[in-house]
Amino acid sequence: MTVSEYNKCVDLHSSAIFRFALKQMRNPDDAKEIVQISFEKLWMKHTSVDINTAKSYLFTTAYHSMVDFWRTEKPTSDIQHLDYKQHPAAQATEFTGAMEIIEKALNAIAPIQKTVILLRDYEGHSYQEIGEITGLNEAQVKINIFRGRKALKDIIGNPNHLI
Amino acid sequence: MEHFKITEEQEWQLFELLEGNLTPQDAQQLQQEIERNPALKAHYLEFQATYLQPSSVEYPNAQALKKSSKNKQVYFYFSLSAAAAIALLWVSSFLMPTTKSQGPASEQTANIAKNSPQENLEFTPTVGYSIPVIKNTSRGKHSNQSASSSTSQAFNAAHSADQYNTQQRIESTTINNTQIHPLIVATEQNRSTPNVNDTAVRRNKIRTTPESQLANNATMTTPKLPSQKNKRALIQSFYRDARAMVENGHVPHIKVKAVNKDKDWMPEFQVGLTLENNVILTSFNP
Repeated sequence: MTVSEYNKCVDLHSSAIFRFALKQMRNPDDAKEIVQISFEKLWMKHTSVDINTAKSYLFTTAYHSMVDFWRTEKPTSDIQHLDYKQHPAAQATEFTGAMEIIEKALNAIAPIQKTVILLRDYEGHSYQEIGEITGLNEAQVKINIFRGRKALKDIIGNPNHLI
Repeated sequence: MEHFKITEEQEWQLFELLEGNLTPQDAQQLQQEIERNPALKAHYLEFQATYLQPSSVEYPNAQALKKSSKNKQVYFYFSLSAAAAIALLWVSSFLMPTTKSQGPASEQTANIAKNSPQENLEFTPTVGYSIPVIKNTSRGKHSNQSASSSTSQAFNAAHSADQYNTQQRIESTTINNTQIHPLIVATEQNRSTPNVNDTAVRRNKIRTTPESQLANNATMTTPKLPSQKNKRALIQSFYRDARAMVENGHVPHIKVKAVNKDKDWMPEFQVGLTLENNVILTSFNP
């Protein structure tokens, strides 16, 4: 991958990685850090990574970086004091009504189910691409999407599950 | 919703429909079923609501992630300079003819070798790299001999190598007896310290008193290289080593090696000068 192709990847995929990370991390600063880590690793490997596989490489790197982040971070981090709603990027994701319920429901389901649903819906990845990113096979990806949607459907049918 | 319960298989069918995994016939059939069954339709709508809409959030600092192609030119120019250095040394090696078995000096040393052949020698040069080096697998008492006698024996044995090829490996045997290349003459004034490997110095000394010269060489200590900070001196010594190799009939190999790749996107380079058998003579970091 040349420098110009790398810069093209920045234009094409930086926002997608940021959206994916923002949904997962729920903190713009952490999401930015994930984006920077992903592109830094891509640049370090830019001679061996082809531009056609760069998107998958970036999402895989971002996903693994987030997993590492979750492992190192304590689960009792100050989620109550998150100020991501004040961020202009996060303000665009503010929803009301059913969408807000879905946003909250997303945070209530299993992380792997959330990940595969986000990759499927936000970026339109195929089962195979999601499998490459998450390290699952296609059948596991499909069943995780199904279970995730079923969990979301149950929450939508009865929002009291969120309380 | 309890009276609208459906089976898990029906849920899976709804999921397959929304994912687009059904054939057109199956999809049409299921759509008709959904229209007929209100419970199925309610679940279908709930499943449909779980599909997220793509967000329009943009990454704010995308420009900061981009890389400039200016740095690539550094690579390019450095590669050019390395290639030019290699080409220059190759040309120098062809322009300066070596006389491995001809010339007065080699004849003189061949006669000395015939008169006093030695075996089981082990000699380690103390000065420079162009002194004949003899390595033997058996380490004997001869290693404890005096410096002058060891030097003489090594020198003699080096030029009678055809008698001891089975036991000894001679890396450098000849002394250049030809004219000094103009490139070397042009750079002669840049040298700050006298080089014991210099062709003219060695030729004159050997013609008059070769044994005394060798004895002097044996008593001399290896000149210390300047500190790593003095890159000019390092490059000069690098050039001297390469020239000594060319003078002695070797083909110098310059190896440009990238080091500390992981620390930075722009790796540092290390230039090494090696013999044919990959013995590293010297190296420096440009």
